[in-house]
Amino acid sequence: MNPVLKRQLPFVALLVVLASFPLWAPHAAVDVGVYALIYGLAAIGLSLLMGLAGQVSLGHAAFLAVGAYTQAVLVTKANLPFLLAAPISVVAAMIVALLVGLPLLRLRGHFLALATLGLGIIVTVIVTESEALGATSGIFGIPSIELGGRTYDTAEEAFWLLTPVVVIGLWLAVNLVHSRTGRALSAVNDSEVAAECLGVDTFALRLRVFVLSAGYAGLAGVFYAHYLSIVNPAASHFEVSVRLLLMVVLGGLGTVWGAVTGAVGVTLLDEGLRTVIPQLIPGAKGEVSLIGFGVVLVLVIILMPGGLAQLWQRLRRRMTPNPTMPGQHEHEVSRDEQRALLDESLQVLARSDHEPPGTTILQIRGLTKRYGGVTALNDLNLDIHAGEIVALIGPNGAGKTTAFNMITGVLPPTEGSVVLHGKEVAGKRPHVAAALGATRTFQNLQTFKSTSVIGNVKVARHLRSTAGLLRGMVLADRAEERHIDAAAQAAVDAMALTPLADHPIADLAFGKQRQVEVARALALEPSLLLLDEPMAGLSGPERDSLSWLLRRVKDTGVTIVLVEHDVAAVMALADRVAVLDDGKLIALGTPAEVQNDPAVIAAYLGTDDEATKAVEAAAERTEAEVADELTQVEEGAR
Amino acid sequence: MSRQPMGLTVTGMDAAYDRLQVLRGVSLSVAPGELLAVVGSNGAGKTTILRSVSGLLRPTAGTVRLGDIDITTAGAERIAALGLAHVPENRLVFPTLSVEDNLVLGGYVRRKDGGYAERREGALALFPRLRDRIGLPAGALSGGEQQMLAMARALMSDPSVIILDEPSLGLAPKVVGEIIAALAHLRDDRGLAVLLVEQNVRAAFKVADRVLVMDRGSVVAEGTPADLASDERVRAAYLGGGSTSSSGVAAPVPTPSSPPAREH
Amino acid sequence: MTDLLQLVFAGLAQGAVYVLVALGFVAIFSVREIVNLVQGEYAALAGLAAVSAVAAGLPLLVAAVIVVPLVMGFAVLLERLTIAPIKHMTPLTSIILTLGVSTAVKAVMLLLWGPEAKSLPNFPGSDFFLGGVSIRSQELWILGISAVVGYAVIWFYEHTVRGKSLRACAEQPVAARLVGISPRTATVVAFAIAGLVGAVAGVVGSPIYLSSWTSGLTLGLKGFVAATLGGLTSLRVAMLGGLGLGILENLVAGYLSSGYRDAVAFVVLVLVLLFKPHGLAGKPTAVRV
Repeated sequence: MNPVLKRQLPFVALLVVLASFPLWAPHAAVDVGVYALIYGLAAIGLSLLMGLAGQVSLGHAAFLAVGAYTQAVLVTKANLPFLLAAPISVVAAMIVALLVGLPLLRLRGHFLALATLGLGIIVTVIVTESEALGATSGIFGIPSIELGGRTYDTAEEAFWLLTPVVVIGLWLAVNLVHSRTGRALSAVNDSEVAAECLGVDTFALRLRVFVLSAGYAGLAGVFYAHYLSIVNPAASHFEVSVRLLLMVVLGGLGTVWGAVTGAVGVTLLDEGLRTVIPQLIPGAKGEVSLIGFGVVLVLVIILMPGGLAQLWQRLRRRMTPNPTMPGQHEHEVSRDEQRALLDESLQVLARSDHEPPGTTILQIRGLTKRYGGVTALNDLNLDIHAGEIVALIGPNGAGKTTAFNMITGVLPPTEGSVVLHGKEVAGKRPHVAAALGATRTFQNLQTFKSTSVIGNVKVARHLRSTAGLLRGMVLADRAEERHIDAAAQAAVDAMALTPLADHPIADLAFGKQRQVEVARALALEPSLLLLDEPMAGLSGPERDSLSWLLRRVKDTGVTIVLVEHDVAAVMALADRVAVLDDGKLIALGTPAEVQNDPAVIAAYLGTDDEATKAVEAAAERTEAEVADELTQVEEGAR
Repeated sequence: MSRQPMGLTVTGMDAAYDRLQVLRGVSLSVAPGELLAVVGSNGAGKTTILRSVSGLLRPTAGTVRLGDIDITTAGAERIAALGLAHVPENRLVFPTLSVEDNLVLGGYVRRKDGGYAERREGALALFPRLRDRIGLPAGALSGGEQQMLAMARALMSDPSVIILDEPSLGLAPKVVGEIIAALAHLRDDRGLAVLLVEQNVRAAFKVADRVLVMDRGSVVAEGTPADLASDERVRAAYLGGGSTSSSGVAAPVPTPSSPPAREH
Repeated sequence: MTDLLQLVFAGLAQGAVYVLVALGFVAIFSVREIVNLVQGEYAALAGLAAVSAVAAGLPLLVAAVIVVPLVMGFAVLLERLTIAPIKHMTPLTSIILTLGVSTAVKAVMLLLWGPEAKSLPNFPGSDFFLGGVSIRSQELWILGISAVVGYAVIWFYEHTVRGKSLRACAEQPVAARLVGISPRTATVVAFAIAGLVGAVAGVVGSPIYLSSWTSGLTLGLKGFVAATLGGLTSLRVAMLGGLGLGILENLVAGYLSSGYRDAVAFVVLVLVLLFKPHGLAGKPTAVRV
């Protein structure tokens, strides 16, 4: 069966299950079910925000309240029909999210979570104080939904009305997860810096998902208003935000389906506790079921942080036969096969618009980084020409990685400029350099741990594709996705990783993960490739392969700059070598020139007084004289 | 300051980070009154040896003994209490705490034993410069002074074994000389067992009794500085030309100056 | 003018309670990056427990004092049960986790003490007037005890070896381990201190501000706002922040509307997080690549 069609099956199943529910369930259960659907809808949005975009919102009830209040006002005061008022209410929630998100989303992690907490409480206070919104009593008398001449006022009818809304909402959300936007967001979640270096504009993406999640909550608020027929400050209460949070966490942050299973779970838990607790503890009221909520939340985080989804995964793994572990049954590609494959793949990925060899494409002037009293890099001046391989070497603490981080936009310089293809990139975020064709790999792996090998590589196609959030949700991006697949596959083939393409990257050995990073960088079709210690952690043969690969990549016109400690490998590979010591550039030239430079030797092996003097004096004399003197020192020591 | 002198013995140690095997079958020993230097290029695993010995990382195979005590699986806090002091890479002084407080905390494991004043005197006598800065926050000290403070802090626990990770990093040659002299003093006059990891080969060779050369996680050579001075393997470990690499160009390497050695 | 002074003074007393709660947040965050949303519940719990103790016949001051070590023990117990098992704690995880714990604790308090707010009787002393400003003796108790406890906490962190070891743990966790400081012990001590200040806040504030199963949430969040002003790491700035917040709240409630009182803290929170998320001192961290 067509894989895309296969993906639709669970939705059909959900539709059937939900549609049949009111047919057999008792009325009270259907009533509870309506609430589950309403909160579940909001939870879907929150799950996108938390699971996909990795941002926690502890005040999401605020958006539900905005949607609910707006709908209430429009329907009772302005007498608008449902179909006209509803979109306005949803947009209202989204506008509030936009206004609030613009400043707040610059915050990260727990700062954002706490700011949203504050936001939720501010909204509660505003609606409680506002006379226009009915203050503590709120707005009441909201009529049931009227659509196509029919009034939906019973629990069963409300349930049937909500079912397609929730299923479609879920469908759209799941499509988003698998789309270009979803991949980019997931990447940002795993490693923001790597995503940025592949061209993902993290802020813009986060803002869009934030606004979208508010839309879901606002829509839930619309149905909330009509079903309860009253909207009061309870809609924005902290407890509602906690309920939504619990739904998402319980269901599992890793998947949007978790919102639905979590909604069911929390509703069952709530009902269960409401019935059980007054029996166990006479006189206890409904709110005491909060104990259950709290305990479940704690237990999930400690024992099963992946929620119900994690449980589901474990069950599935038990049921399927043991999959082959990577590394055990790898078909080792022969060298010749690999090299043929590489050439083919590089053709797929080659750009046609490289600058002519010899042109300066990267100009570094006066690049300096100071931390308090320490100068990590001092006044670096360097030109990189198109089509060459330049290695940056030097002892520990010399400033190589600092220089690298400033060139790639990961670190802002204290002084100096970095001009790439004629545009200044110093101090700008990495995605700016990526858009100009420069990308990098990382010394300590920055892979996207939650996806597969090919998933990692696909993210690099972000700048070469255009499908936005909306296109992704409605599956209008199929053609583009095929292109992305093909290019990603080419990069994976180029690095001889084909048999591992669908394996979760977290299962791979370190050296292989390194190789995936290189494949990922290649998939961006860079003009300038920056590699941070690409040889580290690779075996001898792997280093040879990588050197070979880099030479072939250079042949297609790509410029390569690498930081390396494996001086031997670098000397064979590089056209020019720049040596840093103690933050300063001490040598620049061909590998042969640099290897014979006494200053370089001194930098690596350290100096003591005699040898220092020899080195200093040597700076004044000819090469031959220096060689003589050094031989004498050698013999003298024997 | 009367401690039972103890040495450090490592046998067949393997260590790994996540999936990356960093050390393979490393063995070494340092006796009281001896200084063993470990050299090798970056990524060779030198820092990992120290972290595995001091308990920050648990070895995946092999044993580590402090005197007679097996500390292979012990945690860092316990190993510190038993008498092994680790001066980490980048010093890691406590920046907002004063120099004095850094010393106080250095003696944390001995805080109930008394003798703080003597230990403090002993540490400051070795690094008199710290006396002038005793009240300043440690973060305000220069790199060299922070290194001295880190070493003085380590001495405050009255250790038998002291291990140091690249103390010369980022320091001017003159200061490096002072540090090296201090290490020699610790070995000779205080009878400590000293394990020194250094990238500055000359400095290491000057003060070491024995040297261990690391390359990509394994020990590739071992001997006295004189033995190794003109050894291919030292050069290869730094500038390439070794058997597993793909390039062939070897650079002429001036050997570290050492007292005239025997004929080979 | 007397109105202004009245509001300021009352705000000062309210602020002093926030100060204690704020110190609890800082005490923990400065040792490990944990945002402990249970902090406010320590106060509510202490207040309610003390009320029961008095109802059972214990003299007021005895009840007030006995409750403190009990809540401290409770705080440490919760830490051992819920925080210690987590291997990879991030501030975000700690927020969700402690949210769960505080929700459960609140519900238990509801169960044991019911929904109505309760208060301890006033501590010994009588109210009086000073230049037209009405001063409650309880407010003086609050200010006095908060000052003493607050400075004791600061003194602990700045002048005792144990306190310095906690700070070292936060500044350089690796080096701290190497000198023998155990992060586990440090965490336990930090939580004990958090329990201490929370309990004192709950007991000393109860006669005026009441204790109930819901009072912990807002108190905790407001103390948190004050702590954020100090970047969650500066005790002194947190103290000033708490006092300032109390005064600001009272002024808003007095001159604008009492309903907006609660919003003040959160507007301040959002503003601080937006403009100076690392507190008024500022200390950025970067990702090492």
